[in-house]
Amino acid sequence: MDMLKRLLPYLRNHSKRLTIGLLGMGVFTALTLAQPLFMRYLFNDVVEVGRWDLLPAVVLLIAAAPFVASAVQFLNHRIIMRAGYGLISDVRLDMYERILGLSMKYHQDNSSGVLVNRLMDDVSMIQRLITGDTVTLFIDLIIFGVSMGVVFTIAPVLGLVLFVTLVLYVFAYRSFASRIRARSTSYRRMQDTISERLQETIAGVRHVRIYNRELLENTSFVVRTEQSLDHAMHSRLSSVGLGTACTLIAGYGSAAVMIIGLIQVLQGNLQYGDVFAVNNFVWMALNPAIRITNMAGQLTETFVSVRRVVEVLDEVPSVPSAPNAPDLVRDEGVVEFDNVHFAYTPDNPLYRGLNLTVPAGSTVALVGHTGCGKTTLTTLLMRHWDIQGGQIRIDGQDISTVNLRSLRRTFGVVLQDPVVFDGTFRENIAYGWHDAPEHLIAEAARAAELGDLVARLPDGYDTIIGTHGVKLSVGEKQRVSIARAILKDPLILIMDEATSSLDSESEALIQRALERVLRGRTSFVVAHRLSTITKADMIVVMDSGAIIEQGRHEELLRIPGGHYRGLYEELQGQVKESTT
Amino acid sequence: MTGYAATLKAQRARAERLMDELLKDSESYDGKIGKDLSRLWHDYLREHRVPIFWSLVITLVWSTHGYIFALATQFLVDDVIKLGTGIPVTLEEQLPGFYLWAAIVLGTWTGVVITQWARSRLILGVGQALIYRLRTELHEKLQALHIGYFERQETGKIMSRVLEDVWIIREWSTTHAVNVLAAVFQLLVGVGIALWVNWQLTLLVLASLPLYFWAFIRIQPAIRRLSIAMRRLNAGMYARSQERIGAVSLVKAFDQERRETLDFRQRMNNFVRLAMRVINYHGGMVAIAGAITALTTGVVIYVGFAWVQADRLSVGEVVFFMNVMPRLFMQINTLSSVYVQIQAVFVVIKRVFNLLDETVDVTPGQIELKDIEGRILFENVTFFYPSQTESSLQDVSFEIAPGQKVALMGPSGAGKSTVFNLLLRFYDPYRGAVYIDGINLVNADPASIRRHAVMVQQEPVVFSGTIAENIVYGRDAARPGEIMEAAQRAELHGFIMTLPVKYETEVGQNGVSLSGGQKQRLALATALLTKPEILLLDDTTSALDAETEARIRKTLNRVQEGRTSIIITQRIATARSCDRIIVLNRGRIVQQGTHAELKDQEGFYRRVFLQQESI
Repeated sequence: MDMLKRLLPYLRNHSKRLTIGLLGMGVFTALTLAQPLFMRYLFNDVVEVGRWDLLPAVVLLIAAAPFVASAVQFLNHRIIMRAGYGLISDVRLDMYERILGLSMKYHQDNSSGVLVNRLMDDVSMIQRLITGDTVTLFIDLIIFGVSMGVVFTIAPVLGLVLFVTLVLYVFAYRSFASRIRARSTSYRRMQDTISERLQETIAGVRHVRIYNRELLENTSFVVRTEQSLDHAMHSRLSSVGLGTACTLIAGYGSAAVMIIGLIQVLQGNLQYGDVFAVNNFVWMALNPAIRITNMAGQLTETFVSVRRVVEVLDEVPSVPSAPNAPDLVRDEGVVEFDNVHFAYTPDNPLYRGLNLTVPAGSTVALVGHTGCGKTTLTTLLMRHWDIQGGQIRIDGQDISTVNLRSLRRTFGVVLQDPVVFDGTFRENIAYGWHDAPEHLIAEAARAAELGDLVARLPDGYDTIIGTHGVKLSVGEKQRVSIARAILKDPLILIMDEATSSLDSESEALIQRALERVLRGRTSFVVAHRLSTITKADMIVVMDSGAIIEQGRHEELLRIPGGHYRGLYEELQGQVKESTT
Repeated sequence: MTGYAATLKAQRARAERLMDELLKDSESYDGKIGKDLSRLWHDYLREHRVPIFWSLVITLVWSTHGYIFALATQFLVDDVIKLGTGIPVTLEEQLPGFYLWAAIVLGTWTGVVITQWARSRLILGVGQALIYRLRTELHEKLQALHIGYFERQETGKIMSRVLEDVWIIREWSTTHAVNVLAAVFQLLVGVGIALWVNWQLTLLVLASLPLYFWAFIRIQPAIRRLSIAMRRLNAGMYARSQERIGAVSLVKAFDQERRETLDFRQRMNNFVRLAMRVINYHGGMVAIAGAITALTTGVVIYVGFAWVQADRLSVGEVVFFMNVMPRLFMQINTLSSVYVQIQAVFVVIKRVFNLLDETVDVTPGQIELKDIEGRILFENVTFFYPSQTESSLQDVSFEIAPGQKVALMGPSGAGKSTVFNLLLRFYDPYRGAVYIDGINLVNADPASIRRHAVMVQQEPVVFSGTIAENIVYGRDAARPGEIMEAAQRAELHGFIMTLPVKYETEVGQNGVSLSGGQKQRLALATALLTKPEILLLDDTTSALDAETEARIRKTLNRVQEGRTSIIITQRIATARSCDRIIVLNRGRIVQQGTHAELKDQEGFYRRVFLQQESI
């Protein structure tokens, strides 16, 4: 219930619509229920007693009730759905903003798939709760209550018959439904394994062909399909059983109402119109009865979604900037790490007092084996994580005291796995500055050696790239992300070099682009390429969170038995390997 | 007011544009309906004609029940209760008629229950058989299809042919078909009986039907269009948020959180706008239907009782019409929504048949490759991919002696992978021929080629299952000792032994995730288990980091010993250890020789060599 309270502010924004909508639904339901009663009046008080003068008025009522009900329902449905969509828009946008604002730690713990599911599917479930389940429950309760009430008032005996019929109906439904659910669950599970395998064998069709497995894959598919269809058959048979049972109960129930009612009519205790109306109510109350008893199960499912949504909404961004934090003042780009302490998890510290000063305009190559803490250094600098001790300063300003947005604006970033969004070249390059002037975009693209590629495309910068557009090679993607970083003209450039080897042509292009970008700008490069390393102004060799060697390439090579020397030989060995 | 109207108009125009944009690539039906249906009948349904016939008969019988009830009620009102006649009747006079009525009602309900069960049951079996056959045939087809098909089509689309589409066909040719027929029967039977009871009133009811039908057919397609557009927008939001949340570090680094939220708001607003239009149309349709029903009911009741007054009609007859009218309207309702859906079903049928009609793989030859040495010969081979105008290989000739190690190099698009595609006979050359041990591959059975030549792909494939299952994929009958030996040779055994359940460890989608290097070794073990005479390695190390790459290369060197092997590579370090290097460019061999020869020769190889040497 506390969770629902969290959603109340959202509901309040649309409370007017929701109230009007619910009231309208009440009117609609009342009109729907009124029709059988008008019919009863028609038979009892017009036809049976021959008051034909009343006929036009009664017929008008009979026709007007559903007519007005249709109109009311149309308007209401609109109002309620509008409120529902408004509500999920609000929730979804708040969630999206929150998700993008949450720390990298949160994103590391929660995969994007999970978050997207919460953002899309779970929020839709909430909408269904508000506009579907609640409204239906409301109407159903009215219909159910009024039908029972009216029938008991007109003829208590028939009320009893109706009640028994409903109980049997719900009972049959529930006993069959659990069996159907169990069967269809096992069918779905089988179906999941089938589609998983199918996906694998289609995506990996060459693997199948290379090893001549076509026949075996066929056999296993056929066997599994047979098994799954077996489950499907059982579930369908239960469905047929349920349908039959429901027809049986409803049919004999209504027959019983009619027969018992008519006996009363013949005895003179009831009028024909009473029986006609009661029979209508029997058919009206059947489905609400089932839905009401089902509601509990459905609500538990919805509440799971509500909880998942509220969890995200309640998450606190762990690296907030102080409310009145001043902007970072851009100067020349001196970076200092002063006695920095940091741990991802408290019991496993990574940096225990790390010190590093980078003069303005110099390129730092961070080297070391996987897991030594190279990349972490750059993420701390951008304040994706907060440090536990010490200070990180840019041009003398402690980064934890300045406005986060102004800090992030200072950097240009090239990630290890280059990301290309679905969109045009222009949109991708101008990601950090969406209304950048055309000539600057072209300049950035040329600096990143993309000029020729773009010139070759018929649509130039308007060519769509990404999932739905022209597929770019890894090297081209890297150049796009370099162009993106250059366009911002950042004070400090951070680059995580890609590990995978490229074909030699792309390699050369990227090296040329990089040289251009790094020149005269404070840059941190998590380096994997010898060429990048040897050209750096400063090489920082790291091992398990500590800086063990630092200096220029030639200086470090001179240290006998030095770490860098070892690394260098290892990397070189790849090139020279098996020369003999 | 005009300002408001203009805003409204502009808004609508914007929504229309958005829709058009979204609907551009929606599928439409372009086949011959008759041909597809007759194929469906002759090839898949005709064998079940007996149960289909009986279920039709039963459905016809079932369709009459509503009218039996209505007639019984008419009898009850007119001949038993004698309602509204003012004639006093005694209980004794009424009882026989009442018993008859009760017997008819109970009997009919019993009939309804039995027929309803029987028709569902009968048609269910047909559906099961149909779905089984279609899925089996489709899967078999997929296994036999040419590899090019899989390069043209997305995996997801192919899957939905086999899974969802087949399901739809089954539903629509069995359960739904019977329901549709039931609706038709009920409509025809109902109209017939009603005409017999009173044709004037019936014509009054029928007068409203065209209006009713028209409203549905006009509005339903609009709803369908809008719903497709909505689904697409929704998918767009999914993709967008997935993309941005997946690359959140980039969003943050470029300080784009606010703009992304605004963009998402824009999408959400578009979505809501479309959704509201769907609601308008849908609600409008329901309202129109409701209004027509209400009006017709009113008119029929009024006219009916007016005629009762004038003694032209009995009360029972009016009651009959009051009972029958909702039933007739319900059938119209069902049929008009079917009318719209059925077009989508035809698209589905067509595309399943299209898949079944795809051209199959290369024509298998008769010759079985057996006990080969591994001599490869390309003789003046020219090859085009079907979709391309430029040739991938242009008059390429070379020979590889048994046991030789050859490196294939060249810029991307040079035709390196094509060499493998032809060797494994995924494709046949356009001109010229490829020989293994002197046998032209066009005359050989592809399966037998692939028993002797195995390729390790650039992106290794790992299937869900245990490590052992993945390795054994290479040769089903392998003994545990052989599996272990293959793993040892691929240098994966050590890693496997560190896992708690060793070779039984689950890998793939639901299991332990392997690193790039481990996947490569697993793929290598699978290949080695088959003890191939020819080993093809497709740029196997390009996606790995430098450390792993160096280690894998050592392994590769070892496993290449003693067999013919071709390796596609970007690395001089790999190429120099080979007996021969072939450099391709734009489908032609531009250089050929050993490392020592090529490194001093002006050309591609020397350029790459200098570049990689210099770093």
